[in-house]
Amino acid sequence: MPAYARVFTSNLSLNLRHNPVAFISLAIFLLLFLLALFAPLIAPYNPFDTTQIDILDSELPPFWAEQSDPSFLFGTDGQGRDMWSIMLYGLRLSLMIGIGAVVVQTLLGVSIGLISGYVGGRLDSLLMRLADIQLSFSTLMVAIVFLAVTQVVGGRAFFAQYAPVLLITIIGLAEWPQYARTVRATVLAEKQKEYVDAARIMGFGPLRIMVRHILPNSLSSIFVISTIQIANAIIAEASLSFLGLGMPIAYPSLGSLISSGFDYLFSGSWWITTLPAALLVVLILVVNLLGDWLRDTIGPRILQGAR
Amino acid sequence: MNAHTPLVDIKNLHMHFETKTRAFDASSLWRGKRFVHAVNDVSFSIEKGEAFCLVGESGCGKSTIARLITGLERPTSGEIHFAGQRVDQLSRAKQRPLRKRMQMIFQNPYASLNPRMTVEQALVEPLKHHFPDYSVQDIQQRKVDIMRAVGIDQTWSDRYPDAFSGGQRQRIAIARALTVDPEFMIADEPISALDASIQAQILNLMLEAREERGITYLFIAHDLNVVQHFATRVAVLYLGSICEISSTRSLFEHPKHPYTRALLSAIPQLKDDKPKHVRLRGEIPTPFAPPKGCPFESRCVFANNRCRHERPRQMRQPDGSTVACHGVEENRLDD
Amino acid sequence: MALLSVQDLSVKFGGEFGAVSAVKNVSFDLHRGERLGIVGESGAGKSITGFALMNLLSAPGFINRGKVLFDGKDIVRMSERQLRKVRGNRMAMIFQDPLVTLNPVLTIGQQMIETLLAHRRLRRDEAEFIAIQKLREVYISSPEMRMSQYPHELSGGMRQRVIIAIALLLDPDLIIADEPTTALDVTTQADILELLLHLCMSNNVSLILITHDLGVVCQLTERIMVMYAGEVVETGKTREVINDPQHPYTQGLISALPQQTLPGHTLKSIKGYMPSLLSMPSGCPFHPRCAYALDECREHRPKLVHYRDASVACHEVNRLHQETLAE
Repeated sequence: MPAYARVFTSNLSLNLRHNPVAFISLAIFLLLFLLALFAPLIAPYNPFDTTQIDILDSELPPFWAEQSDPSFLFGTDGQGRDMWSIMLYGLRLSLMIGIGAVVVQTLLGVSIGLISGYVGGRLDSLLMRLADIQLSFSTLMVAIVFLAVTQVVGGRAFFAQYAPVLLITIIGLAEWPQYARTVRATVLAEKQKEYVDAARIMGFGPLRIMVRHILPNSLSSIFVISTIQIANAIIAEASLSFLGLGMPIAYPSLGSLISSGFDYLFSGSWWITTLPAALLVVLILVVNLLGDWLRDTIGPRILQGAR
Repeated sequence: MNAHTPLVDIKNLHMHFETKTRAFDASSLWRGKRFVHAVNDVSFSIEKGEAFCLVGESGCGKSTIARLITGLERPTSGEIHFAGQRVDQLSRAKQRPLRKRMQMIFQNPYASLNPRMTVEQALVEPLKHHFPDYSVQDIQQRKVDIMRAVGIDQTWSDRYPDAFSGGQRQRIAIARALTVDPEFMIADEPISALDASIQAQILNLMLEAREERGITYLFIAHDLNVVQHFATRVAVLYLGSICEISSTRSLFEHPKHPYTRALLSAIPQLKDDKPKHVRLRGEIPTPFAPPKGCPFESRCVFANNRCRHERPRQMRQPDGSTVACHGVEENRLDD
Repeated sequence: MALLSVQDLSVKFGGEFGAVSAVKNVSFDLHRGERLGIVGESGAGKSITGFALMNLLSAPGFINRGKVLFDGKDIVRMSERQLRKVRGNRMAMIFQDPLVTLNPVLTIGQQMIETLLAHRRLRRDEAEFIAIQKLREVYISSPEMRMSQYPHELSGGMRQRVIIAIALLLDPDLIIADEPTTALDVTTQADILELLLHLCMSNNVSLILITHDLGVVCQLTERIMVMYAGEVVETGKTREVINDPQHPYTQGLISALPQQTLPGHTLKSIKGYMPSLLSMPSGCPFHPRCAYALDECREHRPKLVHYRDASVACHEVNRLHQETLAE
């Protein structure tokens, strides 16, 4: 049984059963995750298939309101797309971009944090100053500038095609310092321990010590920050999309759905913007609750040092 | 290597730390950046087969010397020779062949084992690394042999360190050090964190390893009863300097340096007829800016003007020991 | 009447797997001016016993059963208010790590004067006078200067002296010292032990010394109580127990000391490890490690049997005693 799996089988699961908030959060998150994963199978319509869309069906209300159409459970948006289907696809995109961005952040941040903490000295100072500089720009600012320039230079069509990749890259690049700092703090704490000295005396190289000895002992803090960062990345993506710099309306994420529905809010079609917004809030909330619970359960000491 | 080359030879070793990076006690933290003279002109040599022991109180530099010999730290100045080869300036790659020959056991078995590695992984990792041409069977065979030798049950293999008590962990740590078949072992207070009934087990294990594998030890301790039992030769350290190097027997029967005498008289004894406790003056000075004269001068009841101004040198005594004390040299210490 | 009379004291720890017994049926009397050593390895329950004596256990630990009569009054049943009067005032405690006990942001003087003013109706200058007096009693040089220093400015030995001075401030009848010298160097330890002994004897203060170090117990105490896995296995006069231990565990503990064997020879170690509180063996807790264990030891827990000055909890010792009586 690998080391990280051991954490899950023993204390975490025990703790989870005694913590209803975390338990419900995890259940909701898993449900949303599965919905997103199997969106093409669950969704009654394919919102990207223009043959299935009829503009005459536009702005139909959800099932509990009058004048609703039973074939559209949560109504339709301004273009006549099925809200339920489009929200499932939007959730799928939002989660994909969020998780993708966090994977980029993790790869970058963990390697930089490990090297910075373990090697120390000038390299450490250099990398940490870089992180400081990066952090002094807000993620959104960096992303807005970068995405706006790409839109202008590459054109709308190019942008629409590569939007998910661009979003993952830019959000991933903008937030690596969070990771690097946490990992570095953990590495500095672990490096003082005698098992690292013992490994050095065994003659193992720095790469082996970092990856095989220090990294497994830093996993819990990486895991905790990952959950929080997923939430942050989803919010960042939603904000960018809301500003028209994210996913195009033809391939909407939750953010662009909220944005596109915003125009209909005052014409009475409130559901086009509020339903995706509610979904987004629930998603962010459960991810954050899970993150809090993880932090309290597996790594409070480590993260206090990092923050 | 000729027959008279000692296994470990240390010449004029100095180690100064900036207090910014390594604080020795809470009080030094408040005084800003200064240099701590953790090791001050230390020279000694260890012959093959010896159990050489460094004794001293906290902050005397004994652990620093261990870290210098293993190459975890680099000395400020001085030389460290191992088996005739100078090792203190070697690059990491050139140090690697030495790793098989020199190992270390740490004080705290709760920190010296990687918490995310099973006993099996901890024992197999060094074998794979240092014996790349071993087959899987060879490695397993060797692992099983070592586990048996140090009294580790085979059923422990798949468990993580947190399943074990301090004594059990220390056995695992010793087993791990023995996997590479070292000829020299540094043991930094290996039993002081353990319970009394377990201390004897671990000490026996180390004695056994010495007899069966011919391991030479550098043993670091503060418990003089343990030193008397384990060591063949003892060096007494005070404030980064060596006071006295002597064979164990003559150290305990005829301690010469005033600090050694104080140390010996301070051991809590079980017997009724305990020797009168030699009380020291004052408190141990901080290791910033070492005194010009004898480091022990401020606490020594025999100190005179010469002790304040002139640093005593190691002088060979008739019984083969060496003592750094003006009083002993001038023969003015009353017995 | 004994100053402190502990009767059948048991301490449990509530956990997720139900409560486990950490201390079982501890009974002893301590007279005024008497010095008792409680000896055992980590996990033997000696520190928990010390805390229970002052009713200082914090959750999840609690006193499950028994009485702690201090001057005839049961500490276990006292209210928090009554306890405050007894603690510090008539009973004082000295811990292993002086840095934890002293408040780092208050000067030595502030801490001492505060303690005095909290318990006694005194003017500030009177309190200061007493504090300086006490510092002088523990051989602290230039006490007036030390009063204005912070704990971090003192060395380890000096801090432990200050702790002892604070413990003595209110002239207690009993001092409980939990590993008071373990964190100190040998030479400092010797000084502190000498000081403690001198102070107890000259002020007729009772002492309970909790330690793992048999040498320290020998130097300081008249009586000894050996604990193993939460139970008392042997009590008696220190000298007699050390020279002629009855219980196999005490015997093992003493003969495992390096000074009991010729240098370089194999030490007589006790095999195995102390059981965890969660998985106590049946019968005598020591039987899995005992060389003399019989079926009876595996099945029945031995009672503490009193023989003149001593008492031992061991079936084998009891059997031998019965045989001697029969002859």
